[in-house]
Amino acid sequence: MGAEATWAGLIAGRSVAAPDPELVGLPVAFSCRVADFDGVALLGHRLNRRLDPFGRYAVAAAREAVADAGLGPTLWAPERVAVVLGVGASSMSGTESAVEMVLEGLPDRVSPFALPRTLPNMAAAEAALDLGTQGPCFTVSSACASGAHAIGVARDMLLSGACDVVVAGGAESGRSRTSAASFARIGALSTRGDEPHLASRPFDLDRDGFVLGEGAGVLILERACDARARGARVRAYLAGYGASADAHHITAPHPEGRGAVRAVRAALAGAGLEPADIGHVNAHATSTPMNDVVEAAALGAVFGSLAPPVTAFKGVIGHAMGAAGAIEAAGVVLSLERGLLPPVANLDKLDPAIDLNVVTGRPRQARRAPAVSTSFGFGGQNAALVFSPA
Amino acid sequence: MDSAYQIVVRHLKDHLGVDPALVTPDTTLGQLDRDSLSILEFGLLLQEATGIRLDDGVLTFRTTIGEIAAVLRRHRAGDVYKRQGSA
Repeated sequence: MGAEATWAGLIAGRSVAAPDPELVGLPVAFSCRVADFDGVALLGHRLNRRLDPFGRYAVAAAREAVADAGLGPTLWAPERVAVVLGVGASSMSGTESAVEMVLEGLPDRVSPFALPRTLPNMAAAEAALDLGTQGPCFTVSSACASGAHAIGVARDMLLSGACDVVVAGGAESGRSRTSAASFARIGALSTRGDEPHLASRPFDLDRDGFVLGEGAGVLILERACDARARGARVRAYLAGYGASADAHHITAPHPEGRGAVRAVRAALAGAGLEPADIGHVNAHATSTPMNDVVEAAALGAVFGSLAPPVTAFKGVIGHAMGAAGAIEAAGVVLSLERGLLPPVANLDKLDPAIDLNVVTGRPRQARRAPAVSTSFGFGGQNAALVFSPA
Repeated sequence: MDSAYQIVVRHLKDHLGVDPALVTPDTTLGQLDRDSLSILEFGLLLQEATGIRLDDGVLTFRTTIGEIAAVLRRHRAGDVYKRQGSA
């Protein structure tokens, strides 16, 4: 748990997928869990009890990010601090408990926290309650692109002057029985239950679906002039953001990745950059057969023979859905700071249908240059972020 | 203190994080937690743990820990069921 431990795991390139006791008896019964998360120790009894996993992760990551930025409740004007977090779905684990009581004819046994524990907006609300921030506060939802959209929206809010600081990112836990059953039903999950640590394998020829993950990623965004003025340690610049919709299908991406291409090109244009300026790409790369091919085609359309190195984190941490884009954005920032690209886990044989320069096996030195991070959600909702080294 | 009282104190510790050293039979729930939702849920958890039904109105900010223990004790003795049966 935490940014440094996550980075170390990404650099090691080993999947954290393992059998999940919460999912026993389901067609897919493994997941990627947040390791070593002691909610009671971190949050205390009351807050830990009140929150579902996604809320716990949101608060914990927000605290870590705020502390890392050298900010905190006594160091900012609270009404000028916003919280914008991406969440893909309502928290299904808490909803399941409430539904169970209703179906058993025991509506008075529904927890009074059933709603505040599960509503997607509560990730942002609980972080704001915990930090005492009083500026704009809301959740952005675009399924698996939520975290990236939240960071993009946060950037726009800084540019518009709506606030001076944004606690931006995403939080989610896909580890509920309903979520696992639903994704399995549409064939999106890997069924490699006998070898869960090999199940998430972006761009690999033998990939067969994604692995449910969970977590939160939070960045602290400020206008560069404000960060410099207060003597902050600037880790990276958020240079560009682009978003688009496929208007093609409820779950499948456009077969040529047209929406993805437009999102990446918009992000580059916003950053004032050309494809040749990009040093690496952090791909969405879920490890599903279709999405990885389409993303590769989209990146090929944008970058052509430039072929910047491409990495992806889901082989290690699975798919944290609404949190994924934010966790990946944080990882891109660390990649730029440290000049190192984590390898794609479990990539033994690149799918011949994928023509990308993928980082495999061991970490690769990164060129000191801007990077693109892509995120795509159900409904054909696409987001791309461009970060530049500090 | 009897076991009913100890059960209440233990659940206060486990679910609301209340230090048992701060609790006496005269302590009110309102002194321990000012969140009405927390108190509602505490009733639910106590009900799940003991099998004894605590109606929503039973637990308020003014209810003392001693009074909650007394409710558990009466249920165990069957008094409440008898009274409900004759009502």
